[in-house]
Amino acid sequence: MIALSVFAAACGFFAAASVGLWLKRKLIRKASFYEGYYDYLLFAYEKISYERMPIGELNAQYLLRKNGEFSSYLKGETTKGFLSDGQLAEVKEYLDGIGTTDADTQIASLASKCSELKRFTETECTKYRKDGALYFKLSVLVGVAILILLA
Amino acid sequence: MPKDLLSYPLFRDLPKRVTEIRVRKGGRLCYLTPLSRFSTEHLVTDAEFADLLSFVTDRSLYALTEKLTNGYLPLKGGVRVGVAGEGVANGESIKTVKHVTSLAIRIPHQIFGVADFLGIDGYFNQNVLIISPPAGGKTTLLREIAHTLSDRGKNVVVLDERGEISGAGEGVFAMNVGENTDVLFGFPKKQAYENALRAMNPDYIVTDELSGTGDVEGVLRAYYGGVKVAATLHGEDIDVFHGVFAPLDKVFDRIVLLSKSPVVGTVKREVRR
Repeated sequence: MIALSVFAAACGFFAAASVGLWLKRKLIRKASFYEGYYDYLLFAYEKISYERMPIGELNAQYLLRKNGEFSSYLKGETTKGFLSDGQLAEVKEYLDGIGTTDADTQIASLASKCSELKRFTETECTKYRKDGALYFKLSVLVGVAILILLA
Repeated sequence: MPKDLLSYPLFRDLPKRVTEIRVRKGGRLCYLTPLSRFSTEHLVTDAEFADLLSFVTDRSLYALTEKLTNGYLPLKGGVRVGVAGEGVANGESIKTVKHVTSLAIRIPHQIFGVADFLGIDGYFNQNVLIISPPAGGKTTLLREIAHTLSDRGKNVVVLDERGEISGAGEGVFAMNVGENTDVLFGFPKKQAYENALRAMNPDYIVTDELSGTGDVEGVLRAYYGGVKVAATLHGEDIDVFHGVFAPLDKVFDRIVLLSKSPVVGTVKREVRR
């Protein structure tokens, strides 16, 4: 009976900790994605402003020098699990719009989007990371509570 | 038709010998072959037009802004896409074109031997001018003249501002313009004449669509410098040497007038002077 209680308590602890870990990873991936997105748009802004580099070449160069969640997205790998459909659609819509306007309009649009994303990464991404760490700690605490109650 | 364009969904059912495709937002898809003009039943939607524009610009319209202001986009293989839309003016000049509504895609063809009717003595050591209305076959004939002269040992310099004669793009030529041919691709005409005459030691300068004082000055410089010229000019008749082109009257020894009917490239008249 005691062994069963200890086993159930351990399972409860690991389940709670796993949920916390999953939440933390999800939020860190989300933060990493948006930081990569900002980095990519900064790169695009530079390359388009000074070199008028075509988008295909620009993407290839970016992927050569950067890895991470956003690079995986650019390669067409799945981003399910940490971005909502709405967030994905918003990113896709902006990226699809690159290359459809003249140089001046494109550069102005990128500059504006970079400013917006800079603010976003400074506030929201920091929050995602903090929240991730908090959720993990809380879930470990819940796990410990389960452990104490059941053991 | 170049492979890339051939595989584009909107053009998949077009015949291989198409020479021009007309795409208008909301309009019928039309195309030309050497024999006739055809209008399909397909109405081009806004989404299809946007996708095509993205395709022809390689999703990088911003990289082609300067070209766009000249009214065309150069594609690989010498394909030229004429663009119509709303011009954004900056003083006297056009800064860019927005809200593009029409594309005229012109596809070059190489027809070996198409200049044979002239006889090689018809243009060997002579200044040749080819005249026709737009899409009359001028460039095809000019390309073959360049090819023949070059393969017979003449140093030919092609002034190919838009890459239509040689099909130039990324250092590769889609058309055969001869083994002794040098191509100045992408150079503004005035600069191209200067560079060709100063640095390339040409026997022949080959240039498409004479269009203004820059061309006239360039041709005259070549003429007085002892370099032969083969060129094309838009026109309906051989009486083209007036206005800005008046000084060229004395230059050309051989004039070929082409017509679009009954088929593109029909020789309407040929004059030795």
